[in-house]
Amino acid sequence: MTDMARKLQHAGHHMGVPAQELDLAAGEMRLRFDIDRRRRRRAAGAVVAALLLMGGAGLLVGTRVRPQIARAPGVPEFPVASASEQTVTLNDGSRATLLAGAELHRVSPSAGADIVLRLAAGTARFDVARQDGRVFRVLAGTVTVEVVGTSFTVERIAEGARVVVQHGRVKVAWADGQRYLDASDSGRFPPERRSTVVPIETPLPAAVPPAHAPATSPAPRSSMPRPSWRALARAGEHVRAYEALGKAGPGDVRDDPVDLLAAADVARLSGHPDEARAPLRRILSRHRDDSRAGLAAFTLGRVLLDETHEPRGAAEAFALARQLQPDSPLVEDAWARQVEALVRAGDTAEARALAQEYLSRFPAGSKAKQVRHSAGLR
Amino acid sequence: MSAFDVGAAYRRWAPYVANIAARLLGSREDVEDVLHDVFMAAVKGLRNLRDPEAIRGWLASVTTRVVSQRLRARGLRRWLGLGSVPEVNRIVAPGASPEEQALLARVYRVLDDVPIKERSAWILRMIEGDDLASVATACGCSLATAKRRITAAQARIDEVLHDD
Repeated sequence: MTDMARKLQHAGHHMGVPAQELDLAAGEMRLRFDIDRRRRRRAAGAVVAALLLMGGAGLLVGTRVRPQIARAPGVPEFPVASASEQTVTLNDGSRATLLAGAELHRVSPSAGADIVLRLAAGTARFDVARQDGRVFRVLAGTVTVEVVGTSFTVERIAEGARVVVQHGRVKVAWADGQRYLDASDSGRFPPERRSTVVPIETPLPAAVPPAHAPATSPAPRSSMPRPSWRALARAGEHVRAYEALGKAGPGDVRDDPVDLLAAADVARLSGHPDEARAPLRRILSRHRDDSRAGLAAFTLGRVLLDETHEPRGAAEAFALARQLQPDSPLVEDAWARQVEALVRAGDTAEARALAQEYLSRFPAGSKAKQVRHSAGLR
Repeated sequence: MSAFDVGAAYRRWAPYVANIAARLLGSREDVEDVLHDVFMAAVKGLRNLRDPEAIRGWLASVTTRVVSQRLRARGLRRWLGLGSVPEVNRIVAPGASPEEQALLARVYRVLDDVPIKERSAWILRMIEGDDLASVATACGCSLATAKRRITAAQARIDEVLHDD
């Protein structure tokens, strides 16, 4: 063996994926359900082939073969406790596949349109029939998973649950938080308590490097670096970015508008809007001259109005957005949303005055209808 | 094999498959998807295997095949200008010295331009440390072909590293 070969083999021992970095539970669930799906498809294919054969035989003998219409299975008796893998079909056509040891209860009335189920134990996958306007919710300990037209798996773990989304989108809620998961996302809920981004009203730690300085991570060195939260955020994977940022710690957010805006987006788009406020406020307090300050103010207004329900603060943020960038394309939006925020804050007189000012300045403005409606003007 | 056994097999063998996949791919990217594809493809064969060594060999051959498909797709994406070469350092553990990390990065850069069959055989032999018979089994070829592929990849590596 040559010297280089020895070196390579030695170096090769360091290459690989540490077992603790593999989400074996999620992988196993995905595998089981895909095997099950393949089995069902094959069974359906066999039925179709048999029907075709029967049809062909019927034609040969000159008799009509009436195909059997598949009968919908009856509504299952709840609670369902499965000794082995079992699939139950609900009254709306949605299906729940319970792995061995799972126990599923129906909380909502069996004939009702809305479906609320409680997973008392084990693991179950839900293939939800799309139906506008109705609620499909699974309670698992302190966690609630709510969906509209999707497939997802819930595994009870202690008081919480692991959720894996196969298709579509779900909202996972727990006592003091919520998060949206898209296809292929998974997570354990409630998440561990940790502050992902800058705490509200708290200055960044002194260790935060100056703007444009390279990022430093206080987290212990992983045996195999995962993508940074910034890379994940750029790829649109905000839930994973949030988790990565949580591991990296708040010190990993640089004190510059680009990084702070990215951190705010990660918090906001991963279902943690309350944690988006601090980085946005930091931009407004320390980088007000930056060209992105107006966008930060507008985003803060949206978070406060739509997510954290703080209309007074939202009105101030929208006013600041207008003031910082009066010529921005967002200015009309900021104006309209400020009117809406003032109405929601109960300050209708100020809202009307602001609405009239908008209408006089932008008589044919794109938000004229919205502003009139919000302020109750004819 | 029942569904429960599939899960047990997955938990038992997934780390092994993930390591081979990462070394063959040269990156952490796609490892979970490869794992899934390997077990979806291997489940039928696993049903008939009891000996751990046989299972190991079977999984290595399925992993090699699945990774080869991925590498072909990756090559196509690169050819179309839609993808980039992954960083080898992303799967190198901290235990590797800077010199080893640099060596691996250079070697994998060369391997990105080596035919996939030769690349796989070489990685299994030189990085994974498999014997020639195991390499031949995993690559689905004869012993002589496995040797030829390893030699061809090695020649290319020697040539480039020598030039460097």
